[in-house]
Amino acid sequence: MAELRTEAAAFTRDSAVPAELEGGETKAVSHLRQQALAAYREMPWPSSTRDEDWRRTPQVDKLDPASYLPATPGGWLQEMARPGAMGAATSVGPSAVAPAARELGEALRSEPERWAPLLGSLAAPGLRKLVALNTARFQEGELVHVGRGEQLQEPVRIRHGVGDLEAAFPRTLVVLEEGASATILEEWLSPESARGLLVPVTEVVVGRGAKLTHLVSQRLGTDAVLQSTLRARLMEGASYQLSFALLGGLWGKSYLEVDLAGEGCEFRSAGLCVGQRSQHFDLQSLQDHLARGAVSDLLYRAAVADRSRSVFAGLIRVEEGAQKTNAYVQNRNLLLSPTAKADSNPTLEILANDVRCTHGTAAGRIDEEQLFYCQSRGVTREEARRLVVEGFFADVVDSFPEGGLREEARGWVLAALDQLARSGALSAHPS
Amino acid sequence: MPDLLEISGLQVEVEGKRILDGVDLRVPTGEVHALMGPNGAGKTSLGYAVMGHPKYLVVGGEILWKGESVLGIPPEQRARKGLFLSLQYPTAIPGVTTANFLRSALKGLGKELPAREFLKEVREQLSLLKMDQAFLSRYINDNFSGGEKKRMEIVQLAVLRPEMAILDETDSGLDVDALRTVAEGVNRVRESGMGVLIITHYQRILEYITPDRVHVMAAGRVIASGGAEMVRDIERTGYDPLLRAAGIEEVEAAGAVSG
Repeated sequence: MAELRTEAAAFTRDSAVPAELEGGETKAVSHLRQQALAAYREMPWPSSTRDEDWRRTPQVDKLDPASYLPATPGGWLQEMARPGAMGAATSVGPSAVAPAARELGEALRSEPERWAPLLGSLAAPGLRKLVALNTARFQEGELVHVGRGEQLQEPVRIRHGVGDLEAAFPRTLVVLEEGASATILEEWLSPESARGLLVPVTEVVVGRGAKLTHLVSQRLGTDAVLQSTLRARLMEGASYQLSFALLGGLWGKSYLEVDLAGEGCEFRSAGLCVGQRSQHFDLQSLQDHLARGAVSDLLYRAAVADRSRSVFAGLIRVEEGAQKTNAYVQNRNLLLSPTAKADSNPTLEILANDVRCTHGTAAGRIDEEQLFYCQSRGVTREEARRLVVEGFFADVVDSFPEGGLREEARGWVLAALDQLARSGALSAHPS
Repeated sequence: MPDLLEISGLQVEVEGKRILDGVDLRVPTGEVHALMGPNGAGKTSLGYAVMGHPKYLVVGGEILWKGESVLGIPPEQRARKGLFLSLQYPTAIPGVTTANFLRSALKGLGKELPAREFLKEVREQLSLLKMDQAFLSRYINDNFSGGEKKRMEIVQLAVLRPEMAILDETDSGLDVDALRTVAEGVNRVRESGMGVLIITHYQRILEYITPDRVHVMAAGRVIASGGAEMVRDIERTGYDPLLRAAGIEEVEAAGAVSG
């Protein structure tokens, strides 16, 4: 547990004291901090009654950054070494950072002209309240830079986390230059039962013809709150494959926003969520088609048990001139208990006339005939339910980055299902 | 020694409607019986009731397996005792591969095999049923054709090796070649001494599998039983003489619920 500090709060709902990077920061960065502070002061705290974005996530009305302390960098990792603290994380992989990843602060100091302008270029401080707070307060962070034509063979691992009673604001900048390719695993973790607030902001630029495979794994402990923003921009002919797994935490809101800015670029995303206890997952996605002939496809599958809830809002926006767009958004929900809930709201906003866009949504329960079929072959009812849930996620998991990462990801999902089974969530209800 | 399966006076309701009305049927160990009858006679319902489908509520009578009642026992435990029901319309489970499904089934039955042996066994059964090896990694019954589903049921039957199989219309929807392949599959497992109850309303499959006994169901009960020669009689005269003898006027009166 963090020690009690007596000085005035570093951040409240109204204001924040801008942080400074360890080792100092350049003018450009402190200027950005000041902008962020101004934006933060100006914007009201999100409200479930006023803001459409937050209508189904009233938890935000009670969230107050002033009730958290500034994180001690890396402190959460030490906390996780405690026995039993691993929780949903199940394991913390080999320590981060391949050669392609640098500490963001160091990069901003040594090449300020190069990196400072990119910071906040996608997730501008004024985008949203918590993006402003992240920009004013970030200290830990990584830059992943893959140069022109460079092909990274090994996945880059980034992990961020938060400890008990802390708020952490990690910042990640990913830049793939023309023709580059890379695979990134980004993990969000916290010790089991740690009441922390994690506010990660990740900005991703995929250059012309570059190819990025990105796997985001949210395996926070039971009591952490997540407020995440991932914003990507794809240039001409770029390809971005984003896989994500939302498995932990108390409640969270995740923004996932992609600008299809270059002609013929491609965004494919598949993600899943396993909800249990009273977990609440709010995911809001945007596929913003700005250029001609781009393709985007997002599939999100959520299985919710106990009293957990999934909220999804997915918008496909096709700007004027983005002809020949091909866009798809789909949300499938599996309700594992009578008290679990799933809200799904995929929408289209189309300003061009020669496009193909579709959205789909469905919510259902486990089919009794499927259970009987399994049982008639000797599989227990509980195991049958587990099998069906596993099958529900199969196409998402099968679309995860090939090789070791996919198996690792499968492991997280199976661990979450084990947890469901252990808690009785797969056997307690008739269907 | 008690019979493998002994059903007596079985009464079953589905959503408050009487579907089976006093079924008596015995299948001794190692015998193959055919269960015939017009549509709506209750044949499929009998299969479901024996396997313990929750929708089929037993309101009277008894189902004994080796002399012990299986009433109130969940389907997986009946499977573990040695029962197997091949469905008329096998259920698809998207996302669950055939290999994973069969592995889970074997595990549930307490017959787990080492990975290598398991694969060898399933591959062998697939080729015996003239099915592509790719079915191993396909999702079970998902986007299978009707014939593929039926053959997959027999693959499962061969891999899971129950003591008794109830085959519900395993012959329907199969062309002659597929029918022969499936019948050969059944005859192979029959040689191992398995009891079989073949539910059918055609005679076709019985040209390939000779039953020890034949039962005819109508109006939710067994109205006649006899030797294999009954198949020929029914082919010649249809069910009408049997129905009349049992005092059942019209086939339609036998029950509106299909199967």
